[in-house]
Amino acid sequence: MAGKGTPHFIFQRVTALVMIPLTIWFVASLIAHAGDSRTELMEWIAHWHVAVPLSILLLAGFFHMRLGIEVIIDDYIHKPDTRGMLHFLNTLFSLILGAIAVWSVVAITLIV
Amino acid sequence: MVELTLPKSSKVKKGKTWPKPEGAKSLREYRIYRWSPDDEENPQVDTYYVDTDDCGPMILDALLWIKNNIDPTLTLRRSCREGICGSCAMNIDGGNTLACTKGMDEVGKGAIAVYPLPHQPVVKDLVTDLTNFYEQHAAIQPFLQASENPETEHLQAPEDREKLDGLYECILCASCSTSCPSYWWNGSKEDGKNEYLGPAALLQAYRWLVDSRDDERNRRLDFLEDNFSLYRCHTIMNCAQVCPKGLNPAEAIAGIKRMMVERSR
Repeated sequence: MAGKGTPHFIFQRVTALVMIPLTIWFVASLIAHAGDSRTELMEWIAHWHVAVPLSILLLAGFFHMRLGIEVIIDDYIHKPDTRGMLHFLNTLFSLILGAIAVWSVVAITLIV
Repeated sequence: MVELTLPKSSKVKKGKTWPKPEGAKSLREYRIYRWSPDDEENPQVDTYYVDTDDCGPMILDALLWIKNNIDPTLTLRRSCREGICGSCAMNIDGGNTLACTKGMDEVGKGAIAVYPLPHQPVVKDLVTDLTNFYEQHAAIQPFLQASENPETEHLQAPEDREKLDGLYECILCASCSTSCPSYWWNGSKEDGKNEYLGPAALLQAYRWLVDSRDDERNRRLDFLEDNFSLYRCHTIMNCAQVCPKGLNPAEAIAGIKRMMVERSR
């Protein structure tokens, strides 16, 4: 059997802990910036003290999402081949979404 | 995929309503799951009326009263009738418990529904096949494994012995494991691989992991270190809610997870 139960358990909790303060910060910031124009919002994101925590939030979020969907797949999909394929697709999907999200932040810092 | 609906042959049908006992003044209605392997019929729920003036106070008393007075074919397991053997575990009024320690007065006022333990193969009526459950208990090696064998007994400090309280009392009635949705989905696989061991086996695994006399903690943890044996527990807590001995398997499972994390540091 695969020996990866504990790292999965730890990472799921660590990413959740990382996301708690960052989500509060992000939501509070969005409320504070409500009404800003697109340019103003992009300028805000381009600051390193915004771009860095935002990137961490996105990475932690997509990693956490991958771990959570892994749990659902393990719970409900019993055929080993199907389960393996879905795990692969889940990882690929999360990687692509995470890469697009972080690249978007980097692109904004480069554009502004 | 997990099966979210019952197979056609397991769909429960309305069964027979047995006549009320003559001359009885105080009746209690029972709706009991019936299935026999001897015919091709689907399971059905039969209705019985128990004369509570002529019967003991527990659900088991009522089931035996039905068997003795109305329908001798009603099949169930029982032995000690005092909450020690775990034989009469079944689903009563929607919750798993022991028929011998559950009073009729604890089950509201209407008809009392009695079913076998959920999501286990039924042998007949209220008797389920617990072979896999027992095999999972055996798999965690529920016995002392000490590196040294002293000439007399293995000594244990009173405070170390106290750590086993709330763990050793388990009677393996299977109420907890068969109330756990994770155990329903992953407790039994056709190929026997990637199975969740369930709350009862894990409570016993923890009982040996915290035993100060045991020297195989690492090997015991290695056995549980995969995605299925232990980590299918999602702290649903049905196990702690139904345990007729008042134990808390979910807490024991959390204890094993804590050991796993501490070991990986």
